[in-house]
Formats: sequence, C-alpha cells, structure tokens
Amino acid sequence: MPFKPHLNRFVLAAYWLALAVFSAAVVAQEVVNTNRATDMRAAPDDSSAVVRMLAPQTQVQVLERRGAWTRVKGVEPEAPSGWVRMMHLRGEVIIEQAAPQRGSGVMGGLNRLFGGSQQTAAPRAQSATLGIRGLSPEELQAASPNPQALAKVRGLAASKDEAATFAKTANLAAATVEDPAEAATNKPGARR
Amino acid sequence: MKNVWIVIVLAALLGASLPASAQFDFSKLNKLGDALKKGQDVAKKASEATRELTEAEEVEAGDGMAASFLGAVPLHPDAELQRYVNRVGRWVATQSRRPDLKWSFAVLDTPTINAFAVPGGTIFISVGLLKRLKSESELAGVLGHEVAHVMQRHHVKAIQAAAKTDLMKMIGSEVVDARSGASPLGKEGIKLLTSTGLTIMSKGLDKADEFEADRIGAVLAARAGYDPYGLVAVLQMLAAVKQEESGFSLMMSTHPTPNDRLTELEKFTSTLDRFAAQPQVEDRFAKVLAQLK
Repeated sequence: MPFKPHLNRFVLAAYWLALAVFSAAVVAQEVVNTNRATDMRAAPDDSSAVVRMLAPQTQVQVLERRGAWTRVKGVEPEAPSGWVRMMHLRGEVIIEQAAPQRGSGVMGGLNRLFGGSQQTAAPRAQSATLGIRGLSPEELQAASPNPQALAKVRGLAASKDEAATFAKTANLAAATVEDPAEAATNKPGARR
Repeated sequence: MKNVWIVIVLAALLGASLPASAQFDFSKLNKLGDALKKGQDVAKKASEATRELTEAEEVEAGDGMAASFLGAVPLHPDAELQRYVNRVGRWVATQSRRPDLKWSFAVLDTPTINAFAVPGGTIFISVGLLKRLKSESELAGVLGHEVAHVMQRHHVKAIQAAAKTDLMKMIGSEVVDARSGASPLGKEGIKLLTSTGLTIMSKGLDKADEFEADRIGAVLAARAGYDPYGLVAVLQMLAAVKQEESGFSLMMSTHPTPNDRLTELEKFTSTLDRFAAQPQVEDRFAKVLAQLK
C-alpha cells in the first residue's frame, strides 16, 4: 500500500475520513443470499449473457433493483456484479459466530471490511438495549386515544380524483390484473 | 236460547268434574306467552351479537383503534409527506373492491419499521419504514398489502370471532339495547370491539391472512400501474434488516418472516412477471424523501 507514515496530517485525516465514509456505505448495503443455484447475468434479462453461476447460499450485496431482477455484487473484494432474479434471493440465515475474528484492531477491522465472508450475527436482541422502543403492545393498550390527531389525518386524506390525477402525472395507467388465486378457482368477479 | 243454556250447564258440569290438574290454567298461558317473547328477544340478541358488522360499525371500531395508535405515536409533522402518501395510497385503494371507503393514510413519526391497517380504511406507515424504501412502486406494494387487509376484512373477522362471547354476554345482560338507533351495538359494544382490535394488533393475524394480503397487495399495485415487484423488493429489504440495529418493530414481530412471505409470493411469479415492466416511479419518491429533515 503506498502509504507513508510521515505524510502530512491533512492527507492522513482525509484518508481515514474516506475510509469511514466508504465503510459506512458498505455497512448500509443489504446483504442477501441465493436460495438456489442461479445465474448472474449481464443485463436484467433471461436472454443476456451469464457473468457467473452462483451456488446456493452465496452471499451477495444488493446494488439496485429493476422489475423482477436485482443487481448484486459478491462480497469478496474483486467479485463481479450482475443481475440475479429477485425471487432467487432471500435474507441471510442468522448463524452464531463461532470462529475467532481474523486479527484485532485496525487491521482486523480492515480485514473484516474487505475480506469478511463470515457474518457476525447476534441473536435477535431485545430493543431495550438500543432504547428504540417505538410502538409496543403495552404502549398501544395503555395509550390515551388522540381524536384530534385522527381529525387531522382525515383532513390530510386525498380524494379519489386527486389521487387519479396524481397517478396520471407519473404516467401510471390502471391495468386489468386478475387475482391469480381467484382465477384458479374461476370465481366470478375475479377482476375486481 | 234454550240450546245455549244447555251447553253452558253441560260445560260447567264437565269443568267441575275434571281433576284439578287437567283444568286450563290461564296463568300458565301468560307465562308461556312471556317465555315465547323472551325466546324471540334472546334469539334476536344472539343474532345481533353474531351478525356481520355493518360498515358504520366497522368504521367506528377502526376509528377507536386509530385514535389509540395516534395516542401512542405522534403524526409526522411534514404535511407534504402526508399528502404524498395519501395520494399514492388512495390510488392503490381505488383499485380494490372497496374503492369508496373513507381511505386515509397517516405517516407516524417513529424511526421503527411499521405499517398497519385498521378496520374502515385508516392505514399507518412509519417514517422509519418510508426511509428504507427506494421507489413509489415499493410504497404502493406496502400500502397495497394494508389495503388488502381492509378489503378482505381480515381484522374485522378476527375481532368478531374474538369478541363473540363477550358481545353475547353484553347484549344478553341488556347493557346494550338491541333495538336502539344507528349502531345496535351501542357505545359499550363499540368499545369492546376497539379494545379487542388493539389486542389483535398486538398478537397479529393468522399467517394465511398475511400471505393473502401480500398476494392481493401485489395485484393492487399492478392494477394501479406499478411494477408489482415493489412489494417483493420491500420483503427482501426487510429480510436483510438486522433487528438490533432497527429497534423493536411491532409489525415485524407479528408477521410471518420475510423469507416465508417471499416463498409464498413466488407461487405467483407468472402474474408478477407479466407486469414487471410497469413503472417504479423513483424520481418523485426520492424528491419527497430528500426534502425531509
């Protein structure tokens, strides 16, 4: 690495800032797993070239979504990116971290950042430790009703026409779509 | 005249000669009449307790629940955001089998991941969930799922089943006057439905109801002109969420796992694929979210 310890402090600070920003961006990425053997393709299209074949339980980072496809990138540093069918991906299965971390401190951190294929996963923790309680069953049952807020909600409601106009401005056109479950049993009124 | 007298005398003699137990007891006839009337009342009240709720009752119970939600968590202060979500939600709701309900959508000011529907068509979504979405089609998917719950009356049916016994007791004990006004259930009956409803929100619906809401939600989003994979994308995002980083979510703790929901939705891939090229509408979604503090 072309890093000289006696480089001036400004560059040093800039380097670590960039690292921090980059690591924040990486940490914010979604990590999902293939749940079957599937193809990573060059474009979101069944007819486009296969970039890589992925084994089941391959971990990938989500980059983008388009229609029925997700653009992903492998978790290793030089991993290619490509498109995988959205339905072929699931959330990762939580596993307890059994193996020791590779190294400690800054270098260990860097290793985990760039090379970590092991996921450190805590068991589903109670939020009490985080302090983000939000809405809980107890709070809901104990809450004093707020009818003024409800009146405000009514006032903010959109009319049917307003909503239709708003849809038009984004070129959304109503489509006829059968509920597949109703279509299967041939129930009348399957379209509505 | 002579014949009438003969009949009367004969009847009197007949009556006098009968054993006491066989004599006609008028007081028993009155009691029988009372019992018949009471039986009718009981039957009427039983049917009051078990008949389907009217739309007015559904809305009243739902309003009670909504007022409690808003007592527990404040409304998000950004009016532009509220109006935006209402416009998108109302358009999706228009595609349902109950397009003319008083559909209202409320953004709750909590960073947790939550979305709920109450009977009658008031739907809540947390700003915490909104900030994790990437497009209007994803929002349409989430709201479509909630609209589906109201369209299929999932909560109403669950509330009625859970409250049936208590409703019958209440009606039977005449706390509620089964003959009165617009809501035969009365104030006490609605209170019971509301509190039962809140209990059900805390426990969650049956898995089958959630899977059905996913399927119908995706269909509604597609009918509204959106890419129906928006809902699939949201489920995938939820599947990747680390609970310890996002705080407690009442929604996530009462729903089937996102992975299971994805597996269920996968059954309808051919329908979803048919509409996957419909717009995702990312630009105006991003604009609204960007102007939030």
